Amino acid sequence: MEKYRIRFRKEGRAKYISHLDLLRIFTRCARRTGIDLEYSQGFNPHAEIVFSAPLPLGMTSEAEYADLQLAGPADEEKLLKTLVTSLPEGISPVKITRLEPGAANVMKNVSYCRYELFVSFGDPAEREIFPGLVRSCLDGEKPVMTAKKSKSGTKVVDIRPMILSFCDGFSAVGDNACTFGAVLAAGNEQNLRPEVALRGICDAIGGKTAVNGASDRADDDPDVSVGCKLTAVRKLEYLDSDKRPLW
Amino acid sequence: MKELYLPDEMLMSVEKPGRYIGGELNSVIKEKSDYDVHMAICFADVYDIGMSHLGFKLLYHLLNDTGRIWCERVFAPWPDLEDRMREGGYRLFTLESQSEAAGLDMLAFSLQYEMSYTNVVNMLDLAGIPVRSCERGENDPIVFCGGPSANNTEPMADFFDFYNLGEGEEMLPEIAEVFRQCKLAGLGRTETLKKIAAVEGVYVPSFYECEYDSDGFFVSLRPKAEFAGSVPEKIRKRLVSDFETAYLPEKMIVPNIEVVHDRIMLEIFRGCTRGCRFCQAGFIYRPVRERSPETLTEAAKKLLDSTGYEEISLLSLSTSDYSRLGELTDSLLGITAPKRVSLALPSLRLDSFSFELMEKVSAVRKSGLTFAPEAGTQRLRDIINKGVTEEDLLRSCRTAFEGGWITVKLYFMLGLPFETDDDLIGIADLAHKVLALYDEIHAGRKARRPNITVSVSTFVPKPFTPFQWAPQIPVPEIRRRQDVIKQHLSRRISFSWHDPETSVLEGAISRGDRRMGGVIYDVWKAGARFDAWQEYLDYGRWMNAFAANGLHAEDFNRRERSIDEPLPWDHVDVGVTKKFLVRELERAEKGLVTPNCAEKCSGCGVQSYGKGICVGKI
Repeated sequence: MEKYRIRFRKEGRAKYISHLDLLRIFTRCARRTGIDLEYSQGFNPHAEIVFSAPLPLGMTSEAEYADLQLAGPADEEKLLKTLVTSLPEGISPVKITRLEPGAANVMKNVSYCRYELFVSFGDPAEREIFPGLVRSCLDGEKPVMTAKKSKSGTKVVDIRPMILSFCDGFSAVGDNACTFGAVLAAGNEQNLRPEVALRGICDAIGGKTAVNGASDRADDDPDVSVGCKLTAVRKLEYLDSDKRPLW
Repeated sequence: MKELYLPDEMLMSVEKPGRYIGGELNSVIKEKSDYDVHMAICFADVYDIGMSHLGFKLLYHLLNDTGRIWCERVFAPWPDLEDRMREGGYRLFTLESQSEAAGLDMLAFSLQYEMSYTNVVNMLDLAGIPVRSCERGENDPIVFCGGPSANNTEPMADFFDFYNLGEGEEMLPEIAEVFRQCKLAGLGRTETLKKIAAVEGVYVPSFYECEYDSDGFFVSLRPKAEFAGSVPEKIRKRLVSDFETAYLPEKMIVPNIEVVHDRIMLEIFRGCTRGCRFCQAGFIYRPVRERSPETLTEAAKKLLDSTGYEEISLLSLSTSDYSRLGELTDSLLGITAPKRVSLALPSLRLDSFSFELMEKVSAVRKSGLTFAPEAGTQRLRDIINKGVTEEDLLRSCRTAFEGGWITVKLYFMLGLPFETDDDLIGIADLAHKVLALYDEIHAGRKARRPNITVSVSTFVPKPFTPFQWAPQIPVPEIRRRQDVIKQHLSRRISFSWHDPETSVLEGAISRGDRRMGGVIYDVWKAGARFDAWQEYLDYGRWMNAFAANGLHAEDFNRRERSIDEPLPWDHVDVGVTKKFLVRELERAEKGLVTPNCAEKCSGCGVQSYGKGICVGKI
């Protein structure tokens, strides 16, 4: 039994493929190409593939992970090449590594995640003042309270401790849009989704947001007079507790 | 990577955006220089349903593997997306090139079910194509159809430029080639249709006219004067010349999102020997023609390699009737077992042989068994020519229960010709006997609760069956009969039934004549779409549309037709003769069973094709 970890991108139209569909896609890819996956024991055996945290529908990512458990050793480069050529459009493996027996799940070492956000504003002037407002909000003393969904329901919490940085590398796009980076808590302990962070910050600075793209679609209120709007999110990389990028 | 036709914002606002993006494994993209004919095969329901359909996928790959054609796919957007598309001025689009369907040469609709007809009209409208064929101009695509419901051509005759009557594998490449010649020669629409009309099995409704009597009943359908002699009075369905060597794809599109039937489907034979008198498929797909285990195994091997599917399912109208089933299962298991691929054998008649097979193919999974006695008493089963006895059923159930199965579904029909309340009570009695058998087998032991379901659908008389003249019972009577069963059924048995309104509408449309086009148009105008989905069906809206057209649904579904009355589908020759159907109706009245084709030829007429079981070749 051998375990291999691959890192892959999920981009383009593949962002509309759900996490549940992904397991099936990988399993079928393995069967087509003769990759000898191990299967669980029991009534309904499933392929032994463990993915990193589910990517919300509509979000693209540079940093998705899949741990494949194979029946025997494989040539890493060959395995990677097979996956690259055989996975559907938009799911693109970038590297592979062999895991030691008993290696921990990817998410185990994850503390933060770096994202790129694409945001548009109703008015170019709002875009001008946005980075400054965000900085003073995050540098200030006041908690950033916002409604956040968790397994136990929706709660209003202070999300500031979960924001490592927001609005870094701000760059204007076109007349009224922009792109910037954000590093937010991620992983098994704490997790803050980018659209929740943006909503919380905008509430705190007195603006209004509409979320388009990443998830939380039920919260999307079409009647909101849009101050700023999240049009897309890309997950760039995971960081460990020392803020070092994951493999 | 082609850019998507719809903006992200729109896709993110609807359910299952994966339906609309294309780009699946084995989908086909062609360069402009590689094709002359640009067409699409269209399914009048959502992606998840259309992509579950073997025939649809088969014809897609066939067309793309044939000549200079690029065939794309088009599905109906679910209403949530359609509303957004209409708001934003977007049009019906193809999945592969993500471009507007209206820009293609031809659109081929697969007609599977009458209740999807309003979706056809709606899709054409959403495409920006005039919905009625007479309103289309030189720049509009040619819109045609085929499939089981297309055999009664008339209800949708206003909307299609032509019909493909018969098996698509045989006809579509020829039609596409004729079209290609016309396109290269720069022929106009009418000239092109005339050329296509010359292909055997093609019906161009606009070349024919209908006549009705003063009471409003159908009298005749004939070529218009200017086409007399140049188009056939009767259009004969086409069959593949040799089923064994007929096209079998080596690749099959693998959807990225979950669809209803998501597996390799192997069509082991076409047609059915049984001749159940209610079953349209049993007559229109005659004669029975098989593929050999060798051909099927070879096809399965290629499909496994190209798709990676985890399941293969055999497809036919009655798996047990395949002449070399044991051999086929063994050779398929030889390739599936090492790859952890499961093999499904649906619609097995449950005898000891098939139990042995089931044990062999899936040692562990005892999901559920379905039996279809179809009627509650032997008298009625003989009338419908369903050759199953109570002893057969109980013997099968005994084997199943002793083998550890606890879930059994019993499938029946209600509203069959000559049905009485005794037959309905018979359904309950039969179910109770099955339950009693379970209790008897597990007597004195701690047993799990059995899960027995009686599922009752409503009979809809269909063209080209011996019951094509029969009256259908009305909605209140359907409800009453459902209640009779319900009242007699033990609470330990679950009961499920069909929506009566859907059934009577299906009954009216399926035996309708050309005037049904006005009804379908009006009901669509009034907002009908996705009528096959109960949450969207509005019965009152349909009744209004009938009234607005001066028609009564009852004339089509409830009325008993006399044997010598002209029928709106008499111009279609599906091989089975009217004489045979009359004979079968008479035998039904007398409760006489007709032997299946494998035992004895009953002279249905399809022998004239000289194929399959009729010439002893299966």
